[in-house]
Amino acid sequence: MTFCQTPRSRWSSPQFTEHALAESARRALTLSAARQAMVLAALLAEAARLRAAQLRRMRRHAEVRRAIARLSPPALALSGLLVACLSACVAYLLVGGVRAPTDAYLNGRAVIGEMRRAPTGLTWSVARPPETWQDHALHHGDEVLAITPVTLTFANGWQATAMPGSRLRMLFDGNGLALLHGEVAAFIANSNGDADELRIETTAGSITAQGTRFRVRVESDLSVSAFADEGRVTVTNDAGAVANVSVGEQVRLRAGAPLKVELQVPRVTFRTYAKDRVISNSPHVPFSARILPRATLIVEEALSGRQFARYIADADGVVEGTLPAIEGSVVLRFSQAAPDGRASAPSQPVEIAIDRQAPMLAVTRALRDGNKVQVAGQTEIGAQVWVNDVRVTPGADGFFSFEGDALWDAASVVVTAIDAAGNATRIVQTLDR
Amino acid sequence: MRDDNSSKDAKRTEDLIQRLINNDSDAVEQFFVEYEPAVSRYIVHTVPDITEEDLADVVQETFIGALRSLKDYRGDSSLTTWVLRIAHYKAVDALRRRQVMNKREEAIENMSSDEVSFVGTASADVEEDVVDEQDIALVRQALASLPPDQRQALTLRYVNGLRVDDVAATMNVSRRKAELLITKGRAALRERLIELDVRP
Repeated sequence: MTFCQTPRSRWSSPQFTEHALAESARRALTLSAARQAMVLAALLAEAARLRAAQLRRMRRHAEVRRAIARLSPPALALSGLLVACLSACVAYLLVGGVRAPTDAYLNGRAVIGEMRRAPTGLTWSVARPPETWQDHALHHGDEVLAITPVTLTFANGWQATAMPGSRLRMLFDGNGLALLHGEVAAFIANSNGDADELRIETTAGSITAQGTRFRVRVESDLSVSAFADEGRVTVTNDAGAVANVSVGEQVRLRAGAPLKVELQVPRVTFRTYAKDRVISNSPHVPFSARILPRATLIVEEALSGRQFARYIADADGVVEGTLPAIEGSVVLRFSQAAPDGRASAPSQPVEIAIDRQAPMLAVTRALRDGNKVQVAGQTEIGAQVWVNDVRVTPGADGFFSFEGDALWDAASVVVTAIDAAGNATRIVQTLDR
Repeated sequence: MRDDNSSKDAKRTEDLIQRLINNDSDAVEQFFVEYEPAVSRYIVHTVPDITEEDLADVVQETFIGALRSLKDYRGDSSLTTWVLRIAHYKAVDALRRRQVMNKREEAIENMSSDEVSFVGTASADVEEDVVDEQDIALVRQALASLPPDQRQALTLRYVNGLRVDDVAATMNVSRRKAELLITKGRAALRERLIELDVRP
């Protein structure tokens, strides 16, 4: 069977094609009367269902409209007001309302937790990332975690400085703060007749002060020490016992223990510390201390208990002096004896080491490439390095590396290492090109 | 006179819509009687080889869909356009559901030469302007093989007899695009018909 396509088909005529389409529509499959009846019945059933739902909605709306219409305008306004008040009350109870500002401003680097407390007692905190704050207004309940020494300045001029690592919270009522961890040094300079008090609360009790300088520290065993450096502070422990602490005195608050006021352990300051010991390249080590006026600073060897030296404080309670010559190292403790015969407990032992040896210094690379200079090497752990006048901080392993512009027009650099005791090593290194 | 008639029609349609929104049973019946033929024609030319039972299902789905969504009808297109748009979605749903299109394509591809010869043997006089059943079958076969948008445009224009503006409104395209689809669709349909219409 062979077929051939019509050379000139009827379909080439647009009119014929459109005519065929129209015919196709005319002769299209249609629903029989029975099918139409079935579809119409389904449609009427759906319409009846929709009508019933519509009537239900209309009835509900009419009821609401009638209920509103029954209310007189004043009653309607009162109802609206009541609903608004109730909504506000529920929101306040749940969310916590407005944060009340304190009159304290914070300066220093810290993490601040914005505390919120609802009247229901529910509290929560929103932490702000670490930042160096300047005159940041604190609110009641805010928590502060000090990264550097952080100072709180109150509107009346009071200052409280939290040491790094300390954590405190602004109290919800009155002037005060809760010390949760670390140490706070406060300076309160009340003007004449001003009876305001600063309150510092701790887990072991509270400290209140008026026109004085004092410190509060949470110890590692969670007891709390309070020190009066000027004036007088009042300490109340968790059992309700009260003690007055005068200048140069301290008190320890421990759970279940009675309050005992005693002389402060002397605070001795040395010029050079390396980690946990004093280190010097001279046998005569200078120091300064603050104790009671005219009191005696007693220095004794920690291991033998033998007295090492004694110094008398001036009228301001200041001692500045030089320890007797030390060879090698010695471990000392410091205490004070007041003119009235009372004595303080000894301080923690302090090791003092004499190191006269110059630090190791090796320069492994000294290169000049155009206007750039590269210097690298190694020194004693803990020593500082200078390349000409530029300070370079070595890594924990003593290795250092320097790269910078050659601001000087010389063929060599001077590399200097100085250890914690003050000993120095100096190398003049020729630059490779 | 013509304006009078069109304004009367518009008022009548508006009245019908209002009664439909209130789910009036007489209005539902009037709506079905007036619009079912156009809807059925459209579906028949969109879903190839549809049976009467399936056609009744798609028609029913179309009208129920229309009743349920009448509250969303904003009156920015004619009621016919709006109903045909619903019919289109329902027809496409039917196509997808039953994969009629795939079956149809397979059938065309697998069509044997005997079947082709059957189309040719009963041909009418080529020169006469008479459209027989085989021509109708060819037209629907060719229509089914067109791209969906061209097929929809041709169906709306020539099967449902809509104006180009209404075709554009139903397809939710611009008038220019609708014209283009119709022109291209017509040319493609003719080519396809010439290809299919093999005569001895």
